[in-house]
Amino acid sequence: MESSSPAFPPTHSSSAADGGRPIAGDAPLAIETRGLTKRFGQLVAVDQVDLAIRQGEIFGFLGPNGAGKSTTLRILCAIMRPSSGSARVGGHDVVQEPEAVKQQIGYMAQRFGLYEELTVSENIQFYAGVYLGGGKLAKRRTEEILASLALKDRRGELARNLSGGWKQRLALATALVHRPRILFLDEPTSGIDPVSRRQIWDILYGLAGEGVTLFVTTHYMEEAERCNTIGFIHQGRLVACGAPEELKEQPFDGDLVELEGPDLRHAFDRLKGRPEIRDMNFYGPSLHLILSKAEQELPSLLEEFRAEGLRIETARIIQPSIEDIFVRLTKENHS
Amino acid sequence: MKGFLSYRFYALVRKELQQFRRDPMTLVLTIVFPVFLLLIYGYAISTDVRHIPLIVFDQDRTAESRSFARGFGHSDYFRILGEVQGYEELRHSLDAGQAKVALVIAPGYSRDLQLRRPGSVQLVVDGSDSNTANIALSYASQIAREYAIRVTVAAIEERGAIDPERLRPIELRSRILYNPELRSTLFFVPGLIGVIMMFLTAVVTAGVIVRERERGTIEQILVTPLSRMELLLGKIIPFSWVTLVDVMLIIGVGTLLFGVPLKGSLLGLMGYAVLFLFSGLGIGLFVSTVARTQQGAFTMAVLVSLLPSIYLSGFIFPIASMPAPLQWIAHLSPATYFLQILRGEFLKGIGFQILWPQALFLAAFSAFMMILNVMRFKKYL
Repeated sequence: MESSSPAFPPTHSSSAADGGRPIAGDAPLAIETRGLTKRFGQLVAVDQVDLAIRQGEIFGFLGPNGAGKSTTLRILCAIMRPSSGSARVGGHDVVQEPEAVKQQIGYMAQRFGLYEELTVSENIQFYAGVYLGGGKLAKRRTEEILASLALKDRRGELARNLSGGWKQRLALATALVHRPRILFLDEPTSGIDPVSRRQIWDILYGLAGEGVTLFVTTHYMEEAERCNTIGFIHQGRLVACGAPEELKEQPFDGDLVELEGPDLRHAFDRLKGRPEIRDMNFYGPSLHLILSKAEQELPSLLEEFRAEGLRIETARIIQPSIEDIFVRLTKENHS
Repeated sequence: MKGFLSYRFYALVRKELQQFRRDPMTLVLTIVFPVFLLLIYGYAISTDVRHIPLIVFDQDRTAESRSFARGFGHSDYFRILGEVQGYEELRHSLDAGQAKVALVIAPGYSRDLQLRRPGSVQLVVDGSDSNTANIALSYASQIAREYAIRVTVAAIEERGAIDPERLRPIELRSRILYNPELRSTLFFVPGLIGVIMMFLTAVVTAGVIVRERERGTIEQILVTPLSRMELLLGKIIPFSWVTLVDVMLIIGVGTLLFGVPLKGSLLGLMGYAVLFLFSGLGIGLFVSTVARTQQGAFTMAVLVSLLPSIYLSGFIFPIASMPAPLQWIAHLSPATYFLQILRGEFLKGIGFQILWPQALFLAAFSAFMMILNVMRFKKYL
């Protein structure tokens, strides 16, 4: 298990550019699901999902808020039981052998899940202790991870005093301290500044280079496009799965508008059911509208919001992302 | 991996202690609050009633009436504030709360006595504080009775008819065991150990576990290979240590500062305390598996553990005088049995041969709760 090489390459490496790096087709499967389904009462959060992810792959999991991304992730991490179907992670069944699965994985939840009142190094030591024991190995790994994620200077700071980017970095450190072979990351870069995002992705690419399998959910297009494979989930269903280049070829009909601001929820309620709105979805902090002719329709909508006193801070026409294409396709298939 | 408790458990214990040290609120709850309660019950709250303020309205104004009134002043129970000259003044003094009790001696009191007729005396009591009123009444009738006997005996002696000694068919000689001076401190302080332990084990423990859920840190723990048993014990064992340190602290303050005797053995007492500790932790863990927020956990834990241990255990009110349904609850609460153990150990110095049924109940209760909790606690979100 021990290797003398550094855990991660330096963060200034240019490895971020080599996304889409081919994975040997005969590499063994790290994650495999068959008909994976999770129901919460009437709601089907995950619906018959089949996945096959090879070792060393970066798998990007995309979809609008509430599509079933986090639920899928939790089932794969063996902290939630599926209603039906099966999932194998690292060669072990998540229902039959949850503890064996847990030994091999690292997990970074969407919400910051560390102890605010402990310091950076105490948080890492705790997880090192849980996985590796209280001995020298845990101590050495703690030091290594502090060094490789550039957390050394902040080791004595309380977690609650860290900024968003540093908190994510600390969360990543605790998820990595035992050197998992498979890493699950639920929106690891949401709500943090571009520089920190870039640094975190550099670390992730470095890990993939060492053969770690990464299962990542994200809203950022440029991140999704650097994955080997992306899967798109909508209303619990896996509607498309493949290499980013193939999926981008899909046609897109209409103009895509991105809105941001504090009153999006109200705007959404006002626009619901209007004929000129062809589709609407939330992505992280923003709302995406699909209009037939945005140049004509958008100004009057914004005028209406202003008259109603709704605060919409930005409204712009954007290039459709892979996610938008997927959602559009899904809805067309449904109707 | 091997063994019942692994290194994972120790990592959790260390983390809990680090968090404990950093969290001023928990420190206040575990150290300051118990000492504060102890001082309140030791010094301020006292059910002993002494020196009840009394006014006298003597309408007779004779040597006999003054001697009767003085009888009240001589006792330790009453303190004579002074005399009033009319009912209006008497009423005002009671209204203002200066006096709690008024003694009214009717005109012609001494003449009645001389004519061998019953002398009339009235006692007016402020009933707004029912406890004090009750005690005042019983003290007053005791004093009046003694005085009446003295008068009767003197009268009979005067006539020389019979030997006055034979006029008292029953002589009650009471002797109070265990707390001869009936000091309420001795009554409260041992019981307080149970109340504080219940607070720390049930209320605080429920809070720290629900906190993990509320803050989302539980999710990050569940993905680790920590087992259910390790997780539960890792959370509660650090708090057991803290609680036992608190118990020693209360015993120390209680015996040294308040002079509460510990007639039984300290070691035996700690043994019973450990049994009670697990009962309380069992309740706390159960609450934490039901409640979703710290607020909810706190409310629920206070309701199911702390209130019964204060009000239904016999800590303040005797169980025998409660209505039947409350008595049933009292008999299901571990605090009730621990209180009997505490008073037995401190004041009576009785041992296991008498206290074993109580100890058995605590052991059974703890075992039942632990099994229930391990079954209920799931390593899933």
